[in-house]
Amino acid sequence: MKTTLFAVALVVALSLSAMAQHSRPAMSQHRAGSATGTTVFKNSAHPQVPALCNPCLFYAGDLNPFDPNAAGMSDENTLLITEGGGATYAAVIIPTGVTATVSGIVFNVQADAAFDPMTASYDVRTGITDGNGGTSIASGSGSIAVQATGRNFLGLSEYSLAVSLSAPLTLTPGEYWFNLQPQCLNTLDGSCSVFRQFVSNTTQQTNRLNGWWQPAHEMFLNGAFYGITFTNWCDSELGFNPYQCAGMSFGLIGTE
Amino acid sequence: MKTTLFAATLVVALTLSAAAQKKPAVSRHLAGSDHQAAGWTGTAVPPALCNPCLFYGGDINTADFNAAGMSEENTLLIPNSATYGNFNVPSGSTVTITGMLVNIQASANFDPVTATYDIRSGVTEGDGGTDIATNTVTATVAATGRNFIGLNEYTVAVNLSTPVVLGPGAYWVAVTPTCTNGGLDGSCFEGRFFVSNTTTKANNVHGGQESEHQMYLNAAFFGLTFANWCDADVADFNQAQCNSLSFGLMGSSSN
Repeated sequence: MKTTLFAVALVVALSLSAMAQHSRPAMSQHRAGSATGTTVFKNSAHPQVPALCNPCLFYAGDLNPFDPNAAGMSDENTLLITEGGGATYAAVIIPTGVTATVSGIVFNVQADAAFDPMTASYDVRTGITDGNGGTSIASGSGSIAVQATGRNFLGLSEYSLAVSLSAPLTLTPGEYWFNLQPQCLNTLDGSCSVFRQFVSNTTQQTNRLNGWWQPAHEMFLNGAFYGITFTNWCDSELGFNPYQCAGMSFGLIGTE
Repeated sequence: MKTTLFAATLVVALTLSAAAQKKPAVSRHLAGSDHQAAGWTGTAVPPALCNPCLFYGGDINTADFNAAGMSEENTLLIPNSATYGNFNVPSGSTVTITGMLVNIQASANFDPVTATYDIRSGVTEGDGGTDIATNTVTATVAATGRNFIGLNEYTVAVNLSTPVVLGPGAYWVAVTPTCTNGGLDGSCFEGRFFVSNTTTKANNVHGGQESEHQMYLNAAFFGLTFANWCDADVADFNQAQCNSLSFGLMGSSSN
């Protein structure tokens, strides 16, 4: 109990410190980071992907809350993070010779704001580069399924969120970026005005399934609230080291 | 925007400062002031949910240095913490209570949208007296439009499962909202609910029927059994901060 409360105090104090300094909520939550990050990925013959990733075409791997380079990145549309909020995109490269059909997206989100309403927007893009959002090939919104992962990072519980695309998306070899952005816009919900939602990173890619499809260092933040337009999470202005900004904890529902 | 964020920073920092030391704070408030706000005069506009409004203690005055919020929550962070406010049925009267409401400063979601109400008599320091009626029922929530040190305030109203008839005497009531849906709602592990105080009794309806300095906190989480909010070991409130609760009763009176 004391540990949890201390962790809560730590992380929110960190976030609020950033708020006080810059007059805006922080774009991420993380520890100081370590320049000697772990790069040993954990392959498993039977990866335990989130139950909501079913059928699971791809899963990047779990957050490791004990890693000094564990992090959460703003992915939220709330009454605190307004103007459309912050959206974090991560990429997969469909390998040569593979045609994939994606029917849904799963994000692992650290949240102290409620998912209220239980809906999320999604967006699939090609051609993202620093400062350029490329081309949206599918976007929409839908109800979400939510399941606690059992992990907790710096006091925030983590949840798997899954949204179904309005129509299955066929992807040929190439690079695509995905976003699922939860909401907390209910004016009768006090958590929407003060709390946060962060998508997790993955440092060891534990339980990954086709995890190698995610290229390193291809995560982008887009958020008018922060004055950010498709900025790579590895850009120095966002404050991450290369391990923190390497990969995101997300999955794709579908088949190949 | 900047003001709101600064305010949020201030209050949460205060709360978390306490949390880092041991436990979450039992209250949230400014430093307090010996200068008491002037009494309120005007035409009362109680919360719309107080209908028919038998009694309303009055609004929080968020600009008052003595404004405060007191733990009133059943969450995954703070289980079963109830603040009771006082209400007196005058001699020669009989009232029928059909519902109750409290004004809550919230950073947690109301999830599920239920609340536990409790009506008691004979509450004294350390003694919960006699329970008259209690139940957990569906709640109705409406935003008041007020914000106190970064948290929005909401009116949380419940209908009693059975109307309660009360004769002359003193009674204590609590309405405790819930956030226990941790499987889907991260705010239940971190968010708080605080019932507002009222210093000027703005918009009160028969506000004089609430005795001063008769608010009690009952919360095993904090190691407190019906402790008066004026006790120094509860929140170190001054006499204005621990004076009166912002709550209401729906129902009717025989005269």
